[in-house]
Amino acid sequence: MSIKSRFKEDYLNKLISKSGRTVEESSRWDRYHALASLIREYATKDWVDTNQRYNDKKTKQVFYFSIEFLTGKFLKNNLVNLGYEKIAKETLEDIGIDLESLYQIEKDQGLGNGGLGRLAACFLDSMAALAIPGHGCGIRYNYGLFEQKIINGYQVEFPDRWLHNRNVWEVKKEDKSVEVHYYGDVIYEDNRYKLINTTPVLAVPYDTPVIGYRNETVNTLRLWSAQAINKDFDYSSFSRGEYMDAFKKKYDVESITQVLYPNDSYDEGKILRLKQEYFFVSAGIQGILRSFKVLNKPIEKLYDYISIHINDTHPSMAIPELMRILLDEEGLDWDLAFDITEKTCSYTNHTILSEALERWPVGMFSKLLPRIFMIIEEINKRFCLKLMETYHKSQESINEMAIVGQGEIRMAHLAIVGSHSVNGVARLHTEILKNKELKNFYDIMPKKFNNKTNGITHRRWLINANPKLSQVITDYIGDYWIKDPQRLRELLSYKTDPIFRKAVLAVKLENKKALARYIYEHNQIVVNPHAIFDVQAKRLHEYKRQTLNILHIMYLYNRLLENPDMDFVPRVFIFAAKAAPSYYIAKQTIKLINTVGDLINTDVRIKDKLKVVFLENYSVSLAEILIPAADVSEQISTTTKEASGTGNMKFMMNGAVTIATLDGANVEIHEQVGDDNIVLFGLTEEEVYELYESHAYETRTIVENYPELKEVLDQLINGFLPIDKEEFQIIYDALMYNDEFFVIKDFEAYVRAHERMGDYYLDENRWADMVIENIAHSGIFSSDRTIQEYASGIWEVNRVPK
Amino acid sequence: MTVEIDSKVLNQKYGVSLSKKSTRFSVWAPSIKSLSLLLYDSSHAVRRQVYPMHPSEEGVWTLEIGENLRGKFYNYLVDETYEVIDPYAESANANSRKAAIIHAADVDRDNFENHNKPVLPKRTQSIIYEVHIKDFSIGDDTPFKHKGKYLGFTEKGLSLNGQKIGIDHLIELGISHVHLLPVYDFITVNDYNPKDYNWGYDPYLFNVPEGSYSLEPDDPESRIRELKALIKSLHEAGIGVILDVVYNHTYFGGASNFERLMPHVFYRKSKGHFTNGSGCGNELKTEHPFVQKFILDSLIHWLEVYQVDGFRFDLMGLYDHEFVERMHRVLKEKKPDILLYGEPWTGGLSGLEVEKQFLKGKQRGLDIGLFNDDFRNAIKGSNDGYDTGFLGQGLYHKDQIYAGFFGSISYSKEILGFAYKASETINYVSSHDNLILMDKIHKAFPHKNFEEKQNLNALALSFVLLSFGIPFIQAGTEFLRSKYGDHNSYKSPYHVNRIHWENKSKHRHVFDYIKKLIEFRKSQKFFQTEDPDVIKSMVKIQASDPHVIHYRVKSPYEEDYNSVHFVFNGTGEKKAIPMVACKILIDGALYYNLSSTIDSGELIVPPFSCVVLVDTFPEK
Repeated sequence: MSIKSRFKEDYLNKLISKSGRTVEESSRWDRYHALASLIREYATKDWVDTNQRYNDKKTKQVFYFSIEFLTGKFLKNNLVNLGYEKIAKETLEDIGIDLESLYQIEKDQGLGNGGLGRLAACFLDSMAALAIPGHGCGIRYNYGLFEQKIINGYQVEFPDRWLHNRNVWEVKKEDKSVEVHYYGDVIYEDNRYKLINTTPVLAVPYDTPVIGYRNETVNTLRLWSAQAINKDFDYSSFSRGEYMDAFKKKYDVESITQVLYPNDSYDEGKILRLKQEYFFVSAGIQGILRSFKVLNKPIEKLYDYISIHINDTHPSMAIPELMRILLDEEGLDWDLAFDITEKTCSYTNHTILSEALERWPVGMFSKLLPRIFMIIEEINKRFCLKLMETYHKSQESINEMAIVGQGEIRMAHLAIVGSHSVNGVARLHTEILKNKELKNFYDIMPKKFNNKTNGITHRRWLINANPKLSQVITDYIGDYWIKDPQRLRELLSYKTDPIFRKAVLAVKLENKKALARYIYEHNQIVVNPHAIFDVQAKRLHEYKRQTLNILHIMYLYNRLLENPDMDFVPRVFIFAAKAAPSYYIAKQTIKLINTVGDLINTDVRIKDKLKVVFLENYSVSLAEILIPAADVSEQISTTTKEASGTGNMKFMMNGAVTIATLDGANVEIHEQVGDDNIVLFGLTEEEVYELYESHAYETRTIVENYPELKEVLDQLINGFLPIDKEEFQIIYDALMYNDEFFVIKDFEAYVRAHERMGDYYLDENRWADMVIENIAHSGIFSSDRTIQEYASGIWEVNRVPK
Repeated sequence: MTVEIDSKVLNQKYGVSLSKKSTRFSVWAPSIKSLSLLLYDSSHAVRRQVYPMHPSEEGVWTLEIGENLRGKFYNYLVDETYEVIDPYAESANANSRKAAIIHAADVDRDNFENHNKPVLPKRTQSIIYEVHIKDFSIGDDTPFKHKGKYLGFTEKGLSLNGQKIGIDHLIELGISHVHLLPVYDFITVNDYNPKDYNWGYDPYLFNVPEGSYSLEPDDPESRIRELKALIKSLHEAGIGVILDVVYNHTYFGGASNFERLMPHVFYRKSKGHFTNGSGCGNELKTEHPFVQKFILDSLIHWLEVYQVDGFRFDLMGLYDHEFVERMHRVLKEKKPDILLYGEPWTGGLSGLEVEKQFLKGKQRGLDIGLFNDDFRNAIKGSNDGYDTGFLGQGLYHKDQIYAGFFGSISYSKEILGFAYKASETINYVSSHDNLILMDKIHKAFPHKNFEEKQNLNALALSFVLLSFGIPFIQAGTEFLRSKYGDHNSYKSPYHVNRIHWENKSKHRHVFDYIKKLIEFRKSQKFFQTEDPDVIKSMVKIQASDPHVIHYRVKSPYEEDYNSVHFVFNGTGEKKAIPMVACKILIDGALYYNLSSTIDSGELIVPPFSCVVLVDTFPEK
């Protein structure tokens, strides 16, 4: 039987057995479920084999701990990676089913806020593709990041019910469940510390296969879900008539993995967040050690078999948790335990924003996790002693560097001290860590610090999201680039080929037309696909400066009102962003974008030269539509604030030209494409630090000497916008009186940069050059490159291909 | 101050000239530094080819490209700064972003040029029906296929609740001309948004049909083809088409394409500032030879390419009267039966000296009708106020009412109108501006019951339809159209503005009455009389009750009734009038089962109604 006829038979059987209906009677969901289940089944053999392979070879394995995994949809990705997409498409077509419609119905697995969670997902994809034994470890939230709707211009949050129609991809592994203990009393007994009287919670793992790209390798994403140890309600309470109490305990426990915190920075004093962090770290480490035991290898050599990666500080309790097991359960002494722990763990720092640095109050922490707290205190004590005795640090420095200080536990310090590697995520970011933010630490342990510039999986972000461009690329340079994306450089030899240039621009236009249809369907705004599609899609944050973008749009609108016949390249400004629900000024920025948009989009006087579109519910799936259609990529964060950014790489890989500050990975993008193929503006790192340090920055003189800017700022509060004058006072005040993100300072440079961008776009030849240069140089930003650097530079793991 | 312009400038053809193997662009731009043609391959193209243009000594910039570029788009780049659309453009893409390279005459030429045009009646036989394209057919509950579009006027055989609607309604009503609110391209409606609404007094491209009324606004042929289909459809129904034209201001002033191409040419200015005689921010300088050329070129374009039957001029007070005379002459030469009329006032303080303004009186001797606000106000009182005229009171303005009836000629010392001959007056009680008739009645008579109000509506229209001069009715008033009290609905939602066709069945008796008046008017030749002396000899006031208007017409024409009595009771009480040897032909009492009666030499006229009587002698 041919593969195709076997596939057809399998699919029809699956459809009937899963739904109990015939093809004709089946719903779209039935069809999706049948296909997804079948694909997962197909992957199962490789999955089992892969585990077998790793175990047989006793190879070192990486466990990537992350509080978020923003994976998006799986179906298309898995079909492509297994090499089944064409077969599935044709087979389904034969029986009258449109595969595209099944892709659409799948719910995004949106268990992340933004870059951090998406990076984790890209890393999983790359590890599997490279046959690196690496697995994800995180939380199975019942509700992912909220679903955003725009109502009357405001963001309104709704629960993300991604599990509502069940998750076909995961496998519940009840037998691998472990207990996680909270609270309790620490006693010393038989030369060991022990926790008694704890509140135990059952952690149940759900495994999702992470399918490598056509390499018969399937790794695992293990997400933990909290359950009451006694799954049922408390019958004795129920019998006493205490109905609420009967269920309370169950719900209390399950609440731990109920909801993803809609903010990837630190939520001050949220005990539930702390419970979440310990929950998946403890469960994960217990699970790892349980498997390790089966190998019968000496625990002293744990780090030869296991690498634990701490993705930002949320999982940094992996360090004391591993210590706890080594000390209390394995009975090792402190020094040995710490040596093993340090060699096993590595840590990635994702941000220098002070509000994002986790600090837990000692009182709360020590009550919830008494033994972990003891261990942290001990680590701290020994670390401070070392600072004093070995490095002769002053008391002031010691206070600054301590893990526990001023009544708080500083998780970043814990992660640094307990790991053998600390990396930043782009060169500039790492340099800032070394020379500014973590200078004290760098000075005494310089070898720990290294840079691993982020990356993105070109399989999802180019091959799957932009099949037409991928085809054009393959037509010219063959498909080697899929395995080795740096070979995209070979496109440069066709740079002057007029047919190639035309094909690249034609694909972009087609993608823009598709986005224009999406915009019309969702926002009822007609946009011209030939206009510049200028996209800023990322979380809403002051440092990312969506405000700068919208103020510039208001500036352009004013110019057009003064002079509707201005010779002006038509632009469509597209925003997509979620704001943390408690971040008021960010939510008002969304309202501002929509208010300005409504005004501009309905103003026929400016003849469609300007459109402003806010697409609601930014998600991986929306990004996959948006990014291939962008001409201009807005990467305009305040220099020094964006650690790396990964959106910038996705846009670049799809042939967008970046308008950028020299921040995060923009620095490296610039280095790749050169001055001619990126539009830079704004303060440099040195200038930003100089302004911070000199306290010399004030907005008043800039505004007074720049009437067009003053006009825009005044329009926020003078009734120009069709809304209460008070609505945007908070934005006005933040800009005028506390412009810590230098929006005012960078405004003029940003205006000029956009003018240049317009000129370049108008010149089709020049633009084609820029587009091609960007695509051709994007290979280095594949997460395959990043993962290879992690594998050799931090984890010391090898590829274990079949 | 007369401006001297080289005759070379005035004798040019501007805009696009297409021939088999070339495309020529020509624009007069006397004082700019540089001009380039921006040529676009498609409507949505952003990238363009740039062709520098070169001026003649007189400032005429031309460019010839050796290729027929029909179907492409262009704009002009002025001083390398402003992308300006050609005022001479004949079509454009959606929202007028680019001018189309097209000759409007070429679109649907074979089908349109030789269609059956109606034989139009004499000026004074005209009955004008004012309507807005969108009002006519929009609304979810209407059976029109092309709601709110030009093509709505081409849909035959439509009915609602058993009543003919759309073009069939116009035929049934018996009007002679449809007067369309602006169909030239105006700015404030988004062509892509069918819900957007505006009357259209915000001109942008004077020679381009408005895009939002077309099925495919982005296809420059669509609007031309469909407007032609509308005109053809009305013509084939025997109805003439009048266009409302607004050559007195433009939407943009300092930023307009005229000002960019021809600084200080197109607009009146005083001490460097735009004067505002239109009330819209600027006014065209119609005394300038080039502005005159532009307006005449534009009028002739509509007349020849679209074969329309007349024009309604907005704010004629802003036109220099010598130019109006010239315009009148030129247009009459082109089309002797053309119908021309307009508003004899300004919208504000004009930069044109009052003695030059085309105001009431200046029309004498020309075949140009003027909206008769004296008669209008005498009938109903002010446009938007609580006050009333003769209507509902029967007391005031009787002289003006009689003057209106007699075609606003100089009838006597007291009864004195502005016209020399009766065809100079356009008689009306409401138009698109201000409260629509029924809403004015609601406002002025808030406590009257509905039956009385409907009779007042019918009575007001009776004055218009039974007078010498040219009657003009606002669409839908024949079945009590309301705009919910909105006195200035120029950009109100379409559901406020639109015609609610279901009112035709609800108020069928009002419609029947109006229809009967129109039939009667068309049946009596004396209504065509223009000559003041003849009118004077025909009419006689029959003063009896001070609250009643009563006059008699003795027609000199064989085919007419020998003598006709018109009796109007403006009050809320029934009136008894002595009357002999007459029978009631039309009874305007429409409510409470009341009717006019004649018995024993006494005519009883119920409140707020009018009666038309004819003599009972079989022969003259």
